[in-house]
Amino acid sequence: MAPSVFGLLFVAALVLPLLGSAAALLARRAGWGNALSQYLFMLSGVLGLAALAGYFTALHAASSVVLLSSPVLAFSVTPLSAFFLLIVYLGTFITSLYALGYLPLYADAYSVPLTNAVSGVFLFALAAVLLSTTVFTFLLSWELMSLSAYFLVIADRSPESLSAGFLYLVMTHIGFACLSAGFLLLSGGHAFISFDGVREVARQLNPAALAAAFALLFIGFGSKAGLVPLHQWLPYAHPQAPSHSSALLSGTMLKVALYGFLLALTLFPGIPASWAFTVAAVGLISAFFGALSAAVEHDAKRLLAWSSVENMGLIFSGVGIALVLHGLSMPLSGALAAAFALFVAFHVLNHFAFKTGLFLATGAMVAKTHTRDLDLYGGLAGKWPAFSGVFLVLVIAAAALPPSGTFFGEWLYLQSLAAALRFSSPLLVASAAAALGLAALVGGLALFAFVKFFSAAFLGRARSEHAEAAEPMPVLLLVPPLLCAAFSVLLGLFGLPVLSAATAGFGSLVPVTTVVPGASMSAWFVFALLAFASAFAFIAYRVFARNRTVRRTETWDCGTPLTPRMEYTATGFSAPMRFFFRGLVMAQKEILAEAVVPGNPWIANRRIEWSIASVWEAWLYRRIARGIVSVAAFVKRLQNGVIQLYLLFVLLALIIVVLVAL
Amino acid sequence: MTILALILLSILSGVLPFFARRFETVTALALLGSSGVAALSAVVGMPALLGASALSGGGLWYVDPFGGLLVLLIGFMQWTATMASVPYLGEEVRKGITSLARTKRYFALLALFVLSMLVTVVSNNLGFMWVALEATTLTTTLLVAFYDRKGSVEAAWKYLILCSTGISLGLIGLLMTYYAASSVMAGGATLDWTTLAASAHAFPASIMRIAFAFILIGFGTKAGLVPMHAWLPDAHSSAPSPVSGLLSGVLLNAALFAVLRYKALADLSAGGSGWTNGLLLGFGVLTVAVPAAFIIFQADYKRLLAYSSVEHMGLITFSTGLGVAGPLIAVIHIIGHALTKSMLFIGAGNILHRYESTKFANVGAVMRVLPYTGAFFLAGILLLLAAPLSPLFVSEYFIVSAAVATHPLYTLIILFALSVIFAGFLHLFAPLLFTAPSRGAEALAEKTGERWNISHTAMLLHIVLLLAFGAFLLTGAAYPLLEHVAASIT
Amino acid sequence: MTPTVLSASLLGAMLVASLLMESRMRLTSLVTLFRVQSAFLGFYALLLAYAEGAIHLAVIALLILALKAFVIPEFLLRVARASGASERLEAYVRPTTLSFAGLLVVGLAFAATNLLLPDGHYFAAAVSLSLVMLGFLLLVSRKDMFGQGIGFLGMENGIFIFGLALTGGMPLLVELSALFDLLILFILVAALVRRAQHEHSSVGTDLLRTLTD
Repeated sequence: MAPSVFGLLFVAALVLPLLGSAAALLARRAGWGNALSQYLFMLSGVLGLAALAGYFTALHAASSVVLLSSPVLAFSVTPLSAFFLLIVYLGTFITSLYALGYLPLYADAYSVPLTNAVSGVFLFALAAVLLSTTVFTFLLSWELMSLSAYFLVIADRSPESLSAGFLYLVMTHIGFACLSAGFLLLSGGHAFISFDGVREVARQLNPAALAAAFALLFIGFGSKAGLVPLHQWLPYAHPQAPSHSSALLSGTMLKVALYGFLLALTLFPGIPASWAFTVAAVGLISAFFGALSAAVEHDAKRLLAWSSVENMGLIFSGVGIALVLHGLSMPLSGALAAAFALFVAFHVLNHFAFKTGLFLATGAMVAKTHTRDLDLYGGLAGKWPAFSGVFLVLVIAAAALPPSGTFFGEWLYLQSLAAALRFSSPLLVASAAAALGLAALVGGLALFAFVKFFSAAFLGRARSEHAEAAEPMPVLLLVPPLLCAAFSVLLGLFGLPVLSAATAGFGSLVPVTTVVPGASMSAWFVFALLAFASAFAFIAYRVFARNRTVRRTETWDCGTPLTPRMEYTATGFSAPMRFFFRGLVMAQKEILAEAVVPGNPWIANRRIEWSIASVWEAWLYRRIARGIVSVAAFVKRLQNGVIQLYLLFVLLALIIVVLVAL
Repeated sequence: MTILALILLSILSGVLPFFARRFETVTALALLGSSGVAALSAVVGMPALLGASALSGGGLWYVDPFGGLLVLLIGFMQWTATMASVPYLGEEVRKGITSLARTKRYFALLALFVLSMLVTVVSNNLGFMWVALEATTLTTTLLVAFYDRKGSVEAAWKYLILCSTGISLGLIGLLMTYYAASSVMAGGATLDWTTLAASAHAFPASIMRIAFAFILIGFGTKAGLVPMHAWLPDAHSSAPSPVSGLLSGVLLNAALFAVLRYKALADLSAGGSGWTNGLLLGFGVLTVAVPAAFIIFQADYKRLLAYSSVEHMGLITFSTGLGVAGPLIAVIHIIGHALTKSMLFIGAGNILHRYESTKFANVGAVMRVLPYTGAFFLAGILLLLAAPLSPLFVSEYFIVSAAVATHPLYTLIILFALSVIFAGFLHLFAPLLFTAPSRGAEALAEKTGERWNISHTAMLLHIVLLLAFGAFLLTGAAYPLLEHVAASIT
Repeated sequence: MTPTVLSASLLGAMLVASLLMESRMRLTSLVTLFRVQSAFLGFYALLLAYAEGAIHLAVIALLILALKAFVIPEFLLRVARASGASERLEAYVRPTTLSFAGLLVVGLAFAATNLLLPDGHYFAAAVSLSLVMLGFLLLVSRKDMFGQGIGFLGMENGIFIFGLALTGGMPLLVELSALFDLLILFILVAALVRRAQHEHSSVGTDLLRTLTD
């Protein structure tokens, strides 16, 4: 098919979300307004996927498709952006399908037409960021994306949402300021320059300017991607948005931030090792912190947000390590760099698959039980058998267990890191060992977190009224997570081979050619092994459990009746982690006792209040805020209402300027 | 000829309301006069904006593209301000805060104020420009002291004394310019800018520098540059809201216009603009940074909008000092800020009337209680904070582009201050729009709901113009026209 | 007496009047000294008009005499008495300190004139700058609205000297409009003073300190 047809499809996919917004506003009194908008969004996703299919096959994914080229705005499809567009359009389709059934449930909490209108702008902006080829267009789309995400976060206008939205928008705006400064520093004063032009200009800059630009761009994109220490907005903002938007925020917007960072990397004439080490280190620390926080979190959606921090950290560490290895000239380093680049691409797809699915599924869970607290769930597997099966597959993917794609990706990561231990430079070996240890710890904590998640929610018995009275799960809310789970398994089966053959798009940074031997295992082998093991276990169970008698009786309870509330809760499960990492977790526990009979301290109503403070908030954010506030308080004293002082300021200014004039 | 007609019409539209006896007639006459002034401003401003500079009235008036732009802005904004004044004053007369006699005086003062701004911008004679600028202070003092509230006299006194002192310092600058001119011009010096500009290269540079110093401080007081800005929050928050919109949106720009006229002369005399640019950059950065401290903990929303005006004047001043690319940025920012700020003040007026308080603590849930005003206000705040499609996004982008490599420290300070201001705005306005107020929430329940009146039409006009201009800036066609305007500033 | 000696004496007299104004703590004496200063200004303008044969300067001189020496001071005193304002004025420091400050300011002004305007008309420029600075000193040292108003008018006198001496005055129409502006300004000052007296029963600026932050 001619390239112009693809161009048309891409443009249609780009513009359809805006039509959906308009439809949402115009049809706001009609009952079918929501459905119309969602269908338009889904159509946009389908058209985008069709266009991408054509792009990857017919055009061999190596050329650019120019969509618009005016003096000010310019959009085109490049190989790097096509990969991320895949995620955007898949996400659009799945979350809009979900929103068909989800938004009507929350018609009194959100203004559904306005939320859909803002979602349309958000979807448009997501694609526009990826398609931008000039600095101005990129920054314009980026700010549009951030701003529309803000309105999605504050959709229910509750005080928590407003304060979460505030933190998010302030931090994203600071990030935007850093991005503008960074890109424009590289642009050399040309306002409407394209990224190709920036590459030319950047060659002439001195190292200090390049370093400053890199730092600014890393801070800007890192804060949007949720890297520590600029991640604090993420666990507050993502849970507050409607679930289909949370899925987009975690599954797609963070990836767009990664895309921006990769694009920025291509602008520099060369990446010194120190920069690459910084990126890798920050990535690993974020991953660790995210996994640890997920392990001790008991709010379902916040746990998923922390997991996003962890996964983005892993991805960025992959980018950093790939860059380090790419700059070396040792044997095998080229192939290892390629392996890490492959990991980055693969994990982006994997994380998108399971995180979107988990957010959608959790959203359905929250909608039907009316609480987000894991401690109050329990026994949901009995109420929703099919749903818990889907959830189990998603949790397996999140915890990086076979046969999901995440497992193969992390296996690639760890094996390549282990291969790096054979290098001759002691510095490299030490860093590789440290990274390996940290990555393994991260994997362990993530596994812990998700085991806790699944078991607290689905296993055992219902621990509260919320879980007791859980309403049945409608099919429309079940299908999108099912699609994500299936995608995750498919990635496990087919992902690596497909990617390693075809990721020419990542090639501008690191050519992806071969994979280090031993760094991947055959997915079919694992799959067959698992199938065999489960078949064996099932047959063994049927054969040996046939004649067992089951005795039902009362459990010994020391005289106090046992309730399901006494089961192991998510909070209890994570107690060892809180204890072990208590310096970092900063848990505060307060036991309040109120005597039932005055004068008798032994019989009391006890209540425990515990919370986890954020170590970053206490040491970094509060300090900066206090600094700004004290400077502001000092400056404010100058406006004390005394007109004579104001006149003296005029005189002072006059004297200074006249002295300068002499 | 047309300019003379414009002046006469301004005076007429101020005098007409005195002949009416009922409120409706007064406002209708005021609107009629104001529409006429707007139309004539378009006739004067458009040709100058699109075509060449025009010297007329026997050398008395000189309208170049930049002056034409300001004439257009003044004409449009006084029209929407008069539109917004009608329901605003109507509400006050209804509640007994104002009387009919005071309303007539209001419109008369407003017309005189507009007249003095127009004369400042079209006058070729620097002396008349000075007189007109002083006249803007005088005509607005009584508007600042319009209410019998607690701080009115204080605000008016500070406004009068500080601005007049500043303008007197400007007079010293004017006299020094005249002195420098008379020392080299053979046939005696004139006060005509066009004649002065023709021979400015021969003026002694040392005297012109000192003259410019006095002008910058003097007229800069009127333009709200830090540290001479202290009168601004008091005056702009005490005045009636439509007038505050005009003060913030146009008057500050008119004062800066006067400074730029003298800058041109000083640059010609010095043979380059490096020295004046340095001064403007320095004052610009200071004027952007200081309001940040006041915005983050502001308790009064009108005062907050006034501090925001100071900050944006700082950005405009900074951009005029940026050398070749500077004036273009300044033009975009002037248009964007003027239209946005006056719209926000009109909205603030509506909010004030419903909640009867200017404090954030007493105001909340505006989106629910005043749906139309709330929507416009939200859009205005977003446009002011340089959201995409706002002209301010483009101008702030250009500022960073032009300054990040040449003045990194200044750019860093400006970006930091802008982030702090952004946080302050969001922190204060999000609860105002979305959450119920901490005091008086119950009393509000029965006052919910709003009917569309002419102030909403005014705000709608502003938004349409802003979005159209923002979209226009995204095409390539905008820039040649804006370059044409910017070229006349230097 | 030659014109130069006469003009120097008039300038000197204006300077002395300004200096004395700094330490006057009674409204009537302050206004009287202002009247004296403005009268000398008018005579100075007349002298210049005669020396240069410029009619427009004579017109301006007469207007200055009429407005600043008669109309404005009379009206100010009348407003003060009618509104019941106190005769006693207040300042931030003692009158003697104010006098010393005035002398210091004059010295600084004379020194600065050397730097700013190295050529020609030294004495007139120095006196004008001193008057401006002395007026400014009144503005910042006085704690009441009258003192500030008179201080501002004194500043304007200084600027007029500058204009008259160095540039032979601006075109007539411009000077007329400037004087008209001044008149309006003074009317506004009077109106605000009357309102302040009515609201707070005092014209002290201490009560005008409520708008902070």
